Order: sequence, then structure tokens, then C-alpha cells
Amino acid sequence: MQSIQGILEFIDQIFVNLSFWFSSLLANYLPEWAVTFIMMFATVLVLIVFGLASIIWINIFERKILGRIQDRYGPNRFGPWGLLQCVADMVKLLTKEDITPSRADRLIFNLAAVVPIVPTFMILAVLPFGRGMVATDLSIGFLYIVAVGSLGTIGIFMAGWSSNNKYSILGGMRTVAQMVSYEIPMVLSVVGVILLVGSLSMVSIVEAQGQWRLPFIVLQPLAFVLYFTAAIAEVNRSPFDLPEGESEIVAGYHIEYSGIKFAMFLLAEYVNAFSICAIATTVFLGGWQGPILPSWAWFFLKAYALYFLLIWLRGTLPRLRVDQLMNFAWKTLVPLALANLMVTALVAKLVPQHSLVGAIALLAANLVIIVCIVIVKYPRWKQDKREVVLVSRPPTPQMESS
Amino acid sequence: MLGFGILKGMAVTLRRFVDTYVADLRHFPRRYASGPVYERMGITERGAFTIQYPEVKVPMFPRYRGPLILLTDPETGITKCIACGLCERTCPTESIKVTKAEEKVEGQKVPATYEYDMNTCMFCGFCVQICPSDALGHSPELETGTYSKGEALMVNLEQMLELGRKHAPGGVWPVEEKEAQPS
Repeated sequence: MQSIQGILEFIDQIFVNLSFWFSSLLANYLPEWAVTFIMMFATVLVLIVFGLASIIWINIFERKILGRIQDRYGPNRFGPWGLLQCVADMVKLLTKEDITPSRADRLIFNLAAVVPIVPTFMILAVLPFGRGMVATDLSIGFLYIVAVGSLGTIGIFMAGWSSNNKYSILGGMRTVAQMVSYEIPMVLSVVGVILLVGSLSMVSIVEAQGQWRLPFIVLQPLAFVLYFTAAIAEVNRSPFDLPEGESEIVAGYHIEYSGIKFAMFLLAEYVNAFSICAIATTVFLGGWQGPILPSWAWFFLKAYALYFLLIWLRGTLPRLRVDQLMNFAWKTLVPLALANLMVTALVAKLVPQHSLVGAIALLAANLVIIVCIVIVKYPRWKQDKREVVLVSRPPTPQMESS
Repeated sequence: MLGFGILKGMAVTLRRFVDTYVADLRHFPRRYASGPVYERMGITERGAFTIQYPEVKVPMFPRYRGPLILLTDPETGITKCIACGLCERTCPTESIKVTKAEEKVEGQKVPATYEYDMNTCMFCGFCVQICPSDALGHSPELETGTYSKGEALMVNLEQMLELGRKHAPGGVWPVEEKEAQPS
């Protein structure tokens, strides 16, 4: 029993121990400041390599599942079961001609391909991938995510504007409008959780869920739904993929990009989609906490399960209209998030922390909000069936035959 | 009402998603090579209906206009072509050259040479329509690609007769639907 626990502990801490071993190895040869510097550099390198490498399986995962949803197989030619499809795609993209339009703003056009990718990888720095597996445990972790996450908007708008193309500027405009609107419900929905935790640090959010012995999705189901909806819009995924709506504006902001620059946008999109799943896992699903399996395995299981949900939604829902998109953000998500925030603040003050009573009270409060919203927004929800009214048409005037 | 439509839609997509795996398991190990393709594409059938092309080939429909073939009468064993040259004259792209043989075979005129140039043929089917003895037909051949133009796509009399015997053994074109075989 003791030995099994020891093995589990070893597997759980394998990456942390690896990092300690590496730094102690360096400490034999180098001064302390150099070790710190190299360790920081190595951590960043590991995160970036993870981000880049995860595209290989995220891409195939997404295309296979989407294919199955649409009654086809998805890529199954290159490699066993088509698993190396992404490699073929990348080789294709990298060897393609890299075109810069002659009328484009050359500097911004080239810069815009790099800008969206930087915040994408910066977000990975504060995510706890396992027990003790966090690059930097910032005390303002979530604030940092919000601040850095909205930087991506600038890159996309730069791309849209500098391409000098009417479709790309439309796509860029839509992106800015959408991202600014959806950031508000996204942040407001997480504020409820932060009230319960009392800290912005991602690690302490995970630890608080251990103290409650419940993931926050049970305490704040409404907040989870709001966060996930707003986050899908935030990373421009279907059904909120208006910035690249193919049927309306061809490809949106990246219409003029080809070759490696297009690959950069693609990369940023996939890593962003993964990181919103990772944030939702950390904040609502208990992060790396779970029985038996090592902590990092739990984290990735939960994150990829959420990613599956993302793909599933993409395979199900049609794209929203622009006005529907804005209405949905400002008339549904923001009021709901505000109501959730207020009620959570009230209930969290009244009930004891880390207790079953508190959890039930919070869950009940959430249900009350949902019921209230249903009553307010859909007063006739029982008779929501439309009746067909036949309007009698005036008889068509007959032409008199001569 | 309030998101129930979304849940319903997601139930539908999830069912299609699971059904593909169920169908795969039922026809383990190879679903795409199982059974006739059209049966697999029926509306009541579940699972993926992708046709994995190089492994599985769809039989062409009977009136598919592929490369030309010369039909042979199975009873007499000689070609039905009477070398009248109407196909040569009607061909819009001048892809056919026919010459008449000096001697008749069993009281019927026969062609001495028949040169069919697939480089320029546009598969319009005028020659098949105009043929007075119904001696021409289309083969259901789909993969006619070659690595070079020119000689590789020139078909002579022997080859056309051979193709005719292969694809229309009854000496009639179009072949009945049941007889049509994948190329």
C-alpha cells in the first residue's frame, strides 16, 4: 500500500522533480543567477513547445470528431489512422508562397501575424497543469489572463486593417466589436468564483475547490455556462465565428495571408481554444484535483473533455447573425452575469464557507436566477407554439378579355 | 424554449457521432469495404457513408459516357461495325479515322482500321447516336489517366474490340443495370 502510494506520488510529481533535478545539476557548474535565468528560459521553452506540439493532436482530434459528426471519416490517409495529417498540412503551409499584397501596409501586415501568437503563449504561463506545475503563480493570475487575453484583439485588427481589403477590414471590425462585448460577461461570470475564493491566483482557485470538496461548476453552474459561451465568442470559434464567416466575408481578417503567416493565425486560434478550456477547467472543474490518476493527467483529461464539447458545439450550431450576436452579449449574458454576481455575493456572505450547506445554498441561488430569467425573458414559455394564421387574400382582379 | 433547441440539436449530432462508431464496429475490421455502396448510402442506414475511393470503386451508371468501344455480335463473332464512316464525319473534334476493308466477311462490310484518338475526344457521344448499326458504345472506364499525351491515348481497332468484348459482352450498349460492373 505504502509502495503504491509512493509510485503514484512519484508519477504525480515527475515533472516537478525533473525540473528540480535539472536545476541542481546546473547549480554544480553555474552561479545562482545563471541557474535562475536558465530555469526560467527552460520553463518558457517547455510551454512553447507544448503549445506548438499540441496542435498536432488537437488538429487531428478536431477534424476526426467533426467528420464523425457529419457522417464521414475525416483525414485517414497519412500515417496510421491519418494521425500525421497535421504534419502534411504544416509542410504544405510552410512551403507555400508567402504573398504580401502590394497595397498592404507592409510593416503592420507582417507584424500582425506575430502579435496574436504572443498573448496566446503568455496565458499558458499562469495555468496550473498539475500539483506544483505552474510556471509562475501570479497573485493576480486571473486578472493577468484577462489583460493578456484581450491583447490578441489588437493583432487581429492589425491584420484586418493592414491587408487593405474590404472583407478583411469587416472581419477585423467584427472581431473588435465581438471581443470587447464578450469580454465583459466572461470576466463578470468568473468574479463570482473569485468572491468565493478570495484570491485571483489560479493556484488558490484550484486549492479552494479542494477545500469545498466540490468543483465550482456545482456551486456556480450558471457562471460556467456564461463563461464558456462568452469564451467561445472570445476566441472566435463556431457558432461565434463571425470574424471569419466564410459565407459572408470569405475568410475575414486573414484573407490576404498565406503560407507561414496564415499558419501562425491558425496556431494562435487552436492554442487559444485550448487555453480557454484549460482556464474553464481550472476555475470551474477543479483543475488538477481528482482521485488516483496523477494530477496532470486529470487536468488534461478535463481540458480535452471540454475541448470535445467545443468541437461538438461547432458541429451542431449554425453561425449567429451580427445583430443576434450583439443582442445576445448585451441583453442576455451581461444581465445574467451581473445577477449571478450579486446573488453570489449575497449568499456567500450569509452562509458558512467550505460547507455542504453553503454549497446547497449557492446552487439554489443559481437555480433561482435561472428560473427568474426564464419567467422574465419568456413569460409565455408554456404557450410558445406559434399559431398559423391564414389571412384571406382579396380576389385577384380578372383581366377582361377583349 | 431557452436553449432546449440547442440541447436537442446536440443530441442529434452526438447520435450521428456515436452511430459511426457503432457501424464501424458492426462491420469490423473494414466498414468502408462492406456491402454495396449504394446500400450503405441509404437514408435508413447509419454510420459514415464515405466511399474510400482507391480501395472501393462505385460501379458507373449504365449510360456513363466513357471512352468508345466497338461492339461485337456474340452470335457471329464479328464486329457490328459496317465501316460506313458516319462516326468519322459526325465527330466534332475529328478524333475517329475509319477505313473500310476490301473484302466482306460473311456478307457484311467490316473496318480494316479504326483509329480513335482519346487526346481530342470530348465524350459527346454523337458517334454512338448516329451509328446506323449500333456498333459503338461507351465503356464504364473511369481511370483513363496516363503519364503522357499522344500514343498512350490512341486506341486502335483491336483494342476497341477487346474493350467491347470486356465491357459489353452481349453486344448491346447501354448494358442492363444488373450487368454493369465496376471498371
